Amino acid sequence: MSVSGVALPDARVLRYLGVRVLQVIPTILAIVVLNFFFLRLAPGDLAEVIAGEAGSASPEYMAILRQQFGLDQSIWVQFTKYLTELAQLNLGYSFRNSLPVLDLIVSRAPNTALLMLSSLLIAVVLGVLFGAISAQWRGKWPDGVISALSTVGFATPLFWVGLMLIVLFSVELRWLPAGGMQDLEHSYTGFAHMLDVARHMVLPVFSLAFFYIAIYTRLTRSAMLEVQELDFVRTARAKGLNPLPVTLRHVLRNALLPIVTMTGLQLGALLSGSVVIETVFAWPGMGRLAFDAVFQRDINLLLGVLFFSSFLVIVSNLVTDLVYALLDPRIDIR
Amino acid sequence: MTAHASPAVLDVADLTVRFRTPTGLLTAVDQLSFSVSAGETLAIVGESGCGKSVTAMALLRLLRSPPAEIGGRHVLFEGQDLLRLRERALRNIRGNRIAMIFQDPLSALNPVLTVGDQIIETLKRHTGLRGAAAHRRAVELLDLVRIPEPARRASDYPHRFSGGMRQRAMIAIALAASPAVLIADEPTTALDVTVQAQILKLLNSLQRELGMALILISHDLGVVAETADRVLVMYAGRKVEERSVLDLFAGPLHPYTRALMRARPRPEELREFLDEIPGIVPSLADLPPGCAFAPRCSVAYEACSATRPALLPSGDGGAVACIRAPLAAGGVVA
Ligand SMILES: Nc1ncnc2c1ncn2[C@@H]1O[C@H](COP(=O)(O)OP(=O)(O)OP(=O)(O)O)[C@@H](O)[C@H]1O
Ligand code: SF4
Ligand SMILES: [Mg+2]
Repeated sequence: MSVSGVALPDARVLRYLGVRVLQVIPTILAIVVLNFFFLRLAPGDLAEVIAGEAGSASPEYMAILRQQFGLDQSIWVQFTKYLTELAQLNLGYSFRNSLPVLDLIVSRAPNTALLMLSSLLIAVVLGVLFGAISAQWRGKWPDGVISALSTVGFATPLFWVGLMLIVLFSVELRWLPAGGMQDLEHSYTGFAHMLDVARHMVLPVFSLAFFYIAIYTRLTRSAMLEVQELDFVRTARAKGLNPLPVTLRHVLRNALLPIVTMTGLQLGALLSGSVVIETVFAWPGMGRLAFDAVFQRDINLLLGVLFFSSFLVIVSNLVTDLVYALLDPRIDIR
Repeated sequence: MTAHASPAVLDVADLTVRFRTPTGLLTAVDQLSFSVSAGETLAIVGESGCGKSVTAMALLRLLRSPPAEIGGRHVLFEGQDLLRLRERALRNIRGNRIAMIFQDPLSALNPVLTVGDQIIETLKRHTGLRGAAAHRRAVELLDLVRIPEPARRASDYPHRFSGGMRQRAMIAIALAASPAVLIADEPTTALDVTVQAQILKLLNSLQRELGMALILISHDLGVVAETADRVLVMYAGRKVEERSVLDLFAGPLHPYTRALMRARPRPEELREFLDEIPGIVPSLADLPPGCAFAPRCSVAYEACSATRPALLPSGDGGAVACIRAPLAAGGVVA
């Protein structure tokens, strides 16, 4: 352990993680059960959708389809089968896409991760910056402007932000592409490809980040105002420290703790936000995959996406706890 | 007029602190004057809310303004008037030439920084020490305040320290830049009795070793009797009596001081002594005219409420503000 900075992960951290993972198993089981039975409540099934598209919904054809998809068996048989396969990490087969569910998810997950993590990064950086400025100039004009903007950020629906950004930057100004992840007319490689993806990312990332910037701004502001009143800040000022070190080392450093907690809690919401954004911007991510799966009654795929997402959220909560424990020496990791 | 021979290191004249509150302007410290010289301990005593902490904070202008408004003739320190010094220059004095320790060592240390780092912070700010030299000095300071295994404890976080140890760490921070004046605002109130005695002993011996002036703010006349050279008794923001510790305990002149002494607990009972003075502390927002103590004074008569009693010399180098105090000039013995 060094004099400054945080403790490095060691055996204690690993044991702590092990315990937390065990605690998570019942949660995952509950999610699996709920997903499975809730999705069966939706009217219609894959056979109906496919038969409808084929234009021949004869009972015989549908019966053949159902038999092929395993939909003719009782729900309990289906459930047991699902669980057994899940236990072997087999997420099933998407008959609609003629691909294993896991393959589909693995091909899409990185795109969603890119979208979410970029948005989160921007939201945290800008939100903390704005919040810190707001708190520092509390009651003065910068605080007023930032508070007004964050209220707007709170009140505006995600999809509307997305649409307005498209109208402004793609349709009117023609600066940025309105959707997709890469230019379909050219197939760039290397750096040009990265640049192309980056250009496609700007609008969806900012649309998704918009709301979260507002959240982090408010959270940072209130956390900093609260910490500013604490005794150790008075100690820091009595030491003769200049205002910037007081703000950064003492106030902000402690105000980050609730921000980390908040990030953990918000990850699920961020994931569902990205479903909306992926739909608006035709972003080829998991959200988009789930969205299509719903309309196609591709239950296997939908279950897979839901399972995978819950898994992601749980893992990120674990990571959040760990980050918190590393930032706050008062948490004893045992 | 004062008994101590050496020149004052800190000289406070007519210090006045007002707070602008929603309900009006209240005067928390009213024309308070005192001075301390090197190696001397001045105790400031009085009931809760009488303005002791506000006085301490006002000396270094640590009160946030608004709501605080600090005024007065001067606060002279090393040839400079702290009341009129620019904020930047004042920061060079805070924690350096004049240091402070606070009542609650639990909350006065930053929980996410190691104790060593919090000492080093002061060293870096006010001394030329950096890196390994600063670290060595921090360990020396922990040793100076009698923390066992100082090298190891330097890299501990405050929550690993007991209350007494934390207050020692606070003292180490305060002494880091070898101040000329140490202001200790109820340094032992939050600690249990045996630890209190140890901390006081430590403060006393350090003061002697380092030749500092010590301003000791306290609730507890027992603490004062053992530690102080001179005592300033405050009531409702005003000085009501100032005497050498021997004179004060031999013959308190102000009825309020006498009430404080009567209300002192026997050593074996650990009661808060101050609740025992009949009547309640008047609201600073509307003090009675004349003597502020009149509503609770057992020897008050009409003249007490007519004009505010002037602070008069008591003949032994002290001063008292009571029209019935038995002064050499011929007061009435109550
Ligand atoms: N920020 C503030 N705004 C308004 N009034 C204040 C503020 N800070 C202190 N006061 C008032 O000033 C008065 C003196 O407070 P102070 O903290 O100096 O008391 P104290 O003598 O230190 O009491 P204690 O023994 O409880 O520490 C109190 O009546 C308090 O209400
Ligand atoms: S002036 Fe009057 S009221 Fe005030 S302390 Fe003296 S006797 Fe009591
Ligand atoms: Mg106080």
